[in-house]
Amino acid sequence: MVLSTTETRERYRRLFADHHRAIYAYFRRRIEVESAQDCTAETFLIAWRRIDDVPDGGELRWLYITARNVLRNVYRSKRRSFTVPGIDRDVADCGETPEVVLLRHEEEAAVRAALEHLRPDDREVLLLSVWEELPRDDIAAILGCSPHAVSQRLHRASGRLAKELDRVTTTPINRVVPTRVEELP
Amino acid sequence: MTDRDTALAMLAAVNPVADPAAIDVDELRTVIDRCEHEVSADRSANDRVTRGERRSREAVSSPRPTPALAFAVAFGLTVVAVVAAAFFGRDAGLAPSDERPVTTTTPITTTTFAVTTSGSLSMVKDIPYASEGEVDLTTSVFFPSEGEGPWPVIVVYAEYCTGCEADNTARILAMRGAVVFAPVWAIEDVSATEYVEGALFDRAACAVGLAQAVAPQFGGDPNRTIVMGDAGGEHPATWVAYGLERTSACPEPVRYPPVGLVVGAPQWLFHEDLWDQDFVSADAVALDTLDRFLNPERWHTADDLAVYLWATAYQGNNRILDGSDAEGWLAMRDSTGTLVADLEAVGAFDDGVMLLEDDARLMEARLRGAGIPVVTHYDETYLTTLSVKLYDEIWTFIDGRR
Repeated sequence: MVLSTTETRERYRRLFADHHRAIYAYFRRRIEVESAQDCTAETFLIAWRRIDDVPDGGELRWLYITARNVLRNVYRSKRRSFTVPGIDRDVADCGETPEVVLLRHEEEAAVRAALEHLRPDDREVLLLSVWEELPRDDIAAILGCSPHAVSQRLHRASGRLAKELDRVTTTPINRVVPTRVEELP
Repeated sequence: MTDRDTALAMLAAVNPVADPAAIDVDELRTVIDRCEHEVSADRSANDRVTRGERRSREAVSSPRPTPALAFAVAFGLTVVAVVAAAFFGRDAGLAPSDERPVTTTTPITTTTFAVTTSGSLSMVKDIPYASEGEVDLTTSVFFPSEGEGPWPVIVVYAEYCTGCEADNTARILAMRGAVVFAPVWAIEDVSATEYVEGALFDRAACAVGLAQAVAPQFGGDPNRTIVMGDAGGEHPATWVAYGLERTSACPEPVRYPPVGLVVGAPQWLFHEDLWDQDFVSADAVALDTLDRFLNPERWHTADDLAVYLWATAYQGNNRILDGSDAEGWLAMRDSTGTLVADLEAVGAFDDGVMLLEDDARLMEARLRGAGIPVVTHYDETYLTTLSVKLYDEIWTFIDGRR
C-alpha cells in the first residue's frame, strides 16, 4: 500500500507518540543518557526514512529490532561492551536506614556484575523479558527465533544468572574478572 | 545458592528505568527536538526510498486532483501541521520538503577554522569528523581562493592506506572549482571483520556528514555532494552514495544524499584475503554487507544520483578461476541467486580470471538495471592511478551534477 505524504506523516506521528518512551527506555537501560537520546533519535529517523517497511501491527517489534541494530553499532564503533547504567533513584528512600541503603547498593552491584558477565545472548533474552517485560512472542520476533526457543533460552539464562550471582557474591567485587569486550549476538 | 526466581527478582530490582511513563519530559526533549528537526529538514526522507519502492510508487497512477479533493488535501495538511506542532511542542509543524532545496549557503555548523591560502588554493587541515577509540579521524578540505561559488562538495576517499588522505586528487579538483574534503579513513588495527561488516564504512561516512555541515563556510553547496574513491576507497564512497550508512555515532549525519559517485577499480568484492574466510564461516553480517553493495533493492539513493565508473586492465588483485567457482566461493556470496548469471552476462568467466574490471562491469550492470545513469571508462592500460585524461572526464561529470 502506498500512503500519501499526509498519511505517512500521520502514521509516523502516531508511531513516535506511542513508542518513543519504550524505545528510549530500552536504550537508557543499556547506555548512558546522552547516547540513549542519540540512539532513540537515530532509531526514529530510520523509522521515518523507512516508514513503508514498518509493518502494521508490528511497529514496536520493528522498532526494537532497529534499536537493537543501532545499539550494536554503538558497541561496535566505540569498541565497548555492555555495562548497566546507574539507577536514578533517591538515595534516601523513606524509612531506609544507612545500613539498608548500603546493603541494597551491594546487592545492586552484585546483580550488575553478574549481568555483565553473562553471555550476550543470555543477557539479551533476560533483559527483554525482565526489564522490557515483553511477551515471548515479541522476544522471539526480535531475536529471530521461535517462542519455544525463547522459553528454553530464558530457562538456561536465568540459571546462569543465578550461578553468576553466587559467584560474584563470594568474590570481592573488585576482584571479578573484567568483562570481555563483546558485541550483541 | 540463589534460585532462578530470586535471580530474576533481583534483576528486576536493578532495572535502570522501571517505569518508562515516569521518564522526565525534559530528558526526552532532546529526542523530540531532533526528530522534529530531522523530519522537517531532511529532504532525504522522501528521496531515500529504495529503488524497489520507487518502482512501486511509479506504478501507482496519480489522478489529477479535483478542486474539492485539493481543498481536502490542503485542509488535511493544515490539520496535520497543527497536530504535529502541538505534538512536538514547536510553533512550526513538520513542513514537507519533497523537493531538493535550492542552493544552500547557510552553514549547518559554524566553527572557526584556520585557513591557509597558497595562490589559487586555500585549505584547512585536520578537521575531526569522528573518533575511533582514542584516535580522532580527520579530514582536510581544499577549496578555491578566488572565484564565485557555490561550488560542488566532493568527498574523496584514498585507496586503503593507513593514515593517508587523497590530498593530491583533492587539490587538483579544488583548483578546478570545488570544495573537496580528503578524509583519513583507514586507520591501524582494522580487522577484516570490521571491513566486511561495514563498521569501517559507517565511520568513513561520518566525513560526508561533517563535509555537508561545514562546506557552506568554504563556498560549497552540500546539496551537490559527490563522493569519490578508488580501490579500497571505492567502498566507503559507494556505501554513502547507496545510502547504506548507519551513522548513529557520527557527530553530523549525512543530510543530503550524494548526487554523484565517482569510483575506480571497484569493487573488490571477490578478493580472497578480505572476504573469503568470512563467507566460509557463513558470517551472516558479511553476507549482508555484500548484499548491500550488490542488491539494488537495498539501496537508498538520491533520485538524481549518477555514477562515473572507471577500471583499467590492472592485474594485481585478480582471482584465478578454476571452473568450480560457481559452486564454491561465488555461491557463498550469492544472496540473491543471480550473481553467477550476472557475472556470466558481463563476461567475467571468459578469460579464466576474475578481473577488477569484471567487478566494475557487474557494478555497472546492476546500476543500469536500477535505472541509475552510469558513465564508464574501461582502460586497456595497466594504470592504477588517475590519468590526466581521466581527471578531465571526471571533472566534466562532476561539473554536470547540477
